[in-house]
Amino acid sequence: MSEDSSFAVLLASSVHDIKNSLAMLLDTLDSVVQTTPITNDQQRHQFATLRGEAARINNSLMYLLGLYRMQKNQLPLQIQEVYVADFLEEQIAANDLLFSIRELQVTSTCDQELTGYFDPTLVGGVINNVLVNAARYAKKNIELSATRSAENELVIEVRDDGRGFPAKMIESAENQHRGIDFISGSTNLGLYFAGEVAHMHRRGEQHGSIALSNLETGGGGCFHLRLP
Amino acid sequence: MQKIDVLKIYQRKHALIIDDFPDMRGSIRRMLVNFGISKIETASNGEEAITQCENNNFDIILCDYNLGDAKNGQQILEELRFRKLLKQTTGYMMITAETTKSMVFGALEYQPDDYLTKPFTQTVLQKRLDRLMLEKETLSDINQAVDDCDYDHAIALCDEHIAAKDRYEQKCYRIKARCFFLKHMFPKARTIYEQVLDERPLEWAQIGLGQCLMEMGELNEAERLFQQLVDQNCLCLEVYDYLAEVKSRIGDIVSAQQLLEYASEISPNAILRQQKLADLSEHTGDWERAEKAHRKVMKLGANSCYESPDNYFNLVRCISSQVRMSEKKDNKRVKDAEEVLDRARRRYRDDPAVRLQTDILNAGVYADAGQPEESRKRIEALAPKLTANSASANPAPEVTLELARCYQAMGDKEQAQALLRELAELYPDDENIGKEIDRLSDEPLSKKGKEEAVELNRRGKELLSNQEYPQAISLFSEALRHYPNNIAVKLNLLLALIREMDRNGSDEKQLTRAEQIIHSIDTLQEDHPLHDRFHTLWEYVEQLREQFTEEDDE
Repeated sequence: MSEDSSFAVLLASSVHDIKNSLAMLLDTLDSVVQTTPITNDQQRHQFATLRGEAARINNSLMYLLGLYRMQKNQLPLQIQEVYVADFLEEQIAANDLLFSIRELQVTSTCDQELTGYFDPTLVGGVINNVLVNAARYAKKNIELSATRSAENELVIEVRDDGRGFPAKMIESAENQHRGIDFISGSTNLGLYFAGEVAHMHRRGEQHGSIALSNLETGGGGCFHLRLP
Repeated sequence: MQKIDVLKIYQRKHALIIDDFPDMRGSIRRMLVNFGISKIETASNGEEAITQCENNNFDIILCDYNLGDAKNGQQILEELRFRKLLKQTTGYMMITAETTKSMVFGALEYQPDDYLTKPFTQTVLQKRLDRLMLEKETLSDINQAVDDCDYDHAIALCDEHIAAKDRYEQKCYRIKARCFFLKHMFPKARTIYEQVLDERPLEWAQIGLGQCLMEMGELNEAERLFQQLVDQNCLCLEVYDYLAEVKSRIGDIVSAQQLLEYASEISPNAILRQQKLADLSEHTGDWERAEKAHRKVMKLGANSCYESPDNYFNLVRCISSQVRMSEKKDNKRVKDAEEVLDRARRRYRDDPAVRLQTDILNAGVYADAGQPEESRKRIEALAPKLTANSASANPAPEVTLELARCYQAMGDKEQAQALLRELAELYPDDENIGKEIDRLSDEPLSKKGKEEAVELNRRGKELLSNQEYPQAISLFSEALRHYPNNIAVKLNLLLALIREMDRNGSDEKQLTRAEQIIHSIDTLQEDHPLHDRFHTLWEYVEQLREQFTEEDDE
């Protein structure tokens, strides 16, 4: 076995162990939250931190393995027909406890019959990460929407009513494919992963892309994903 | 879907949870109970899972992909499908720890219905299961028809969904095309795949189209398509098998072997691929590789649905052939072969025919090791069991075939041919026995083999005189897979390769192939009618090799 492939096996089996622990942790945490009524803000904050950070660990693991495979050119895209409304609902459901602890209203606007062609596992990872982040900053509402643009692209957007993205982050989302800036730290790793996943989706010469923007009315940030 | 409907559906369902962690099993079980399922079984490994499936008809199977050191979830799924323990109406959901779907699967039809990544919440599992159950309910009549092999009915039902343009429209196109394929209506299946591909490059349609092209003999198109899938890192390893098949059919055995080697490295446990690899490697004279593959087949076959005495015998024959060809008759290799034979004896101690075959094969090994006297002594000792050395007295044709092999090894060609001829007369209509006879014989003896040889000769001559050399290479390569000992076919293939290289310049792969053929018959006796022709071709290939090496050096 080559060094690379034995490292891949090691990495995959470690991730497997961590994910098993994480699954048990989340399962137990969820039943604790459900059987312990929240009585004060401090407790609410603690629960939100526990649930939110566990979700972040999970997402970080995903980038780690995903980016490793991307570099090795071993991350095949599994394109399939996806019913987008179902897909979005599932992403919300994955974090419903986090939303309910933080008392956030999460709504999704999407035609029930809208279909898209993409890798639901990879894109699901991207949207999940955006939602966990939004849950951290949103005040009351998170809105998801999906439409088909005039250029026949599938456009998925996630809006929150928080204080919006810092300018530097918006800029780094624009500068896709300049490679990853390790010096600036890992805070943008999720963004980089999202950009890569979007770019992997293509139809003819057209590639997918991501963008960040701030909403004019009352601040808040918006994440845009376009898939050809 | 209405909540109440779902509850009713779930109440009737029987579920199986496969996971090696007791905590995970408990956690998933609690979730399923909350959905209203009451009949739930669990298994912690593949063996338990398969036993469960032998005894129950499950509606839902939730299986963790990584089950420790034992069989993984994909292998369980493949075994269940292969052994027809899993119906189309059952929903199989694979639970994976990796967010990326990097696990490979053998064939398109061995894909699970859905993947779910860990960790997941109860709500997510419910949404996924709801969708899967609704799909299985809606398409149950179609799946039932497919399970019953009533493809016409399945197609008619698919057409209803397609006309309604409902959410299962695409799924129904996929099932419909597959049904046409299974009915051998390849042009119809092809049309559907092409229509789908006009819209989107979906993998299942690409693979389906490639299979149709192969069946319809459009090998170049099929090769292009499968190559494209391989270049895309397709996770479905079947694609490598198809590309290898296409390559070997157009005569590029060397590439075919490389492809199978690669796929075997990724998924070393696919026994059918190992068998094919062993076959092709013997064909190209790569005995070391062949032996490795045979050993793997023997190991994987044990206690599985692929268990067969041939798994042991083929390995012994492979070792024995190596001994025959090597200058120094290494006694250790004889021991290696006998060790495998002992295993077969233990495994089949209650089957006298297999035991007899084992003993004959054992005698043959000594002939290959340059000790024909020992061989003859052993065959004589077996005489009472063989009654007489004649096919008519032997109930098992395998025993006679083995005896013919042994006589060939001892250099007693006439005795071998006599046995084969007798066997061909005894089983004129058994195609499998006919094939084996023709494999051993240096000229076809079976009824079908004789007819095919005449046709092969006619077409081959036609292709050569029309200067259609690639087609001729393809034709003779294919023929050689059925008649590996047929010297006339080998010489014709050699001629076609030479003509092609004369026209288009030498090529490493084709030169290697030509040299392999020469090596396989370089002991041809001087009194053989084809001896002179063979040596002319041999010298020509040597010249081509010299020129090629010089060009390379420049």
